[in-house]
Amino acid sequence: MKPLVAAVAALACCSVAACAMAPLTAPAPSLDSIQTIRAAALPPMSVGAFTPAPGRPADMDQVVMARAMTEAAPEGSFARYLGDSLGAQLKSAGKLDPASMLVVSGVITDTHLVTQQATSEGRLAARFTLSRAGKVVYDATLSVSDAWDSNYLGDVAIPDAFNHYQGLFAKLVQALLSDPAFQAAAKSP
Amino acid sequence: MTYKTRSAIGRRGFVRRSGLTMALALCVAAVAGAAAAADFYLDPDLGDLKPEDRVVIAHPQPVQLLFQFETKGAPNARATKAVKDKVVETVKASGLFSDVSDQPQADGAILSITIDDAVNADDMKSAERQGFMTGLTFGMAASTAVDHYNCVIDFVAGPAAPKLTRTSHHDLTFQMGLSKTPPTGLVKMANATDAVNTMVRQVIATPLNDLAKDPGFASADAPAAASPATPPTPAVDPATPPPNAAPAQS
Repeated sequence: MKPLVAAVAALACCSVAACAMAPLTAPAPSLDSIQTIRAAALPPMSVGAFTPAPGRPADMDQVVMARAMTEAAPEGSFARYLGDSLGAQLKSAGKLDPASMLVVSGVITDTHLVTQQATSEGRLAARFTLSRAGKVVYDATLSVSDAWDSNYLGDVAIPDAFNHYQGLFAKLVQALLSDPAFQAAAKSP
Repeated sequence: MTYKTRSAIGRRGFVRRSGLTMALALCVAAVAGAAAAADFYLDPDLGDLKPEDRVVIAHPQPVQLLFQFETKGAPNARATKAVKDKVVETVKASGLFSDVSDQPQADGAILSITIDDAVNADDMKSAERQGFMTGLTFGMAASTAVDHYNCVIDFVAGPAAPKLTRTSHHDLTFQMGLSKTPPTGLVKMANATDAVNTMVRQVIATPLNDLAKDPGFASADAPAAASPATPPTPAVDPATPPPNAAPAQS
């Protein structure tokens, strides 16, 4: 259905226009993350500030581009979206507590999306810190990446790229939650 | 938040465009004419669950529902939002749970549903080739494409319970172009919304019912029991075909 419509629209019209896609919607919780939180018996925690790395272009946190299209960050910040993604997983596991002394914060250090004709790739990295009563008990930079078959038709490749890019946020959150060092730091008194 | 059943999807405008040229507008108008004549068909193999085949749970428990729509394995947030109401409606209509909510239940059960719109390379090439011809002939030449939907349903009864998994598959055939010949053996849907709603209902209802037959589905004090003679009365009966569904004409 979508490939056909895309093919018709793109090939018949033989034209490319600069486009913008609607912002991403709220992150969806996953069973894997909830299972990870349950299995590790993580305590309730709160989500602190999530920001872009200092000195990086402001655009990096606000939009991501695939060919001629841009995707705006939800509420204007991909860093915030990462924090919201973590919050969504914790909340779905019943472990989000804004009053907790355990606070997870993050700084996005790398974001990358390249859409080629044959293959595309994306990468996302962030430095996470976990503080207990203001004392840092965990500090690590985690990175995730993805690569996928692309298409020369922008109407197919571009939404696909944005979908995979969004998937990186869930992957990065899962990487944090399943990090044994993070789990140990969260549970240690 | 407890899910409220509402009418299902009705929007496909996922993409906002700007700066279109007059030539593009004219071409889109030509293609739109063909698109208006688009037909949608579903494979009848899966079909709707028969009332007599439905599992009845003696003591239904609340469940936390997670749902994600994917395209080629990647999360598709907009499609997730578009069909989520229909997913919730289908799970509620199963009668297998006392409450369906996105809120966590303390050490409670979790139901995770993923529908993936899988696209293989051959289908893609075929769609491009046919789409080109339909566009080149301004909608005269026919095009047929098939979307393959894979559904995975995972269920955990509690923190220590094993994960139960069931899967299903559905095909949605799409035709456009003025000279199209209806495919044989498929069920014609009234429109795109009807086709997607029916696909979602059917691709979930059967594997969910199969899942409920597993001894691990119900806890020890709430055993599952098949009851062919006394099917439940759901809020919306998934077995009822849409009123506008009709067999494909060959």
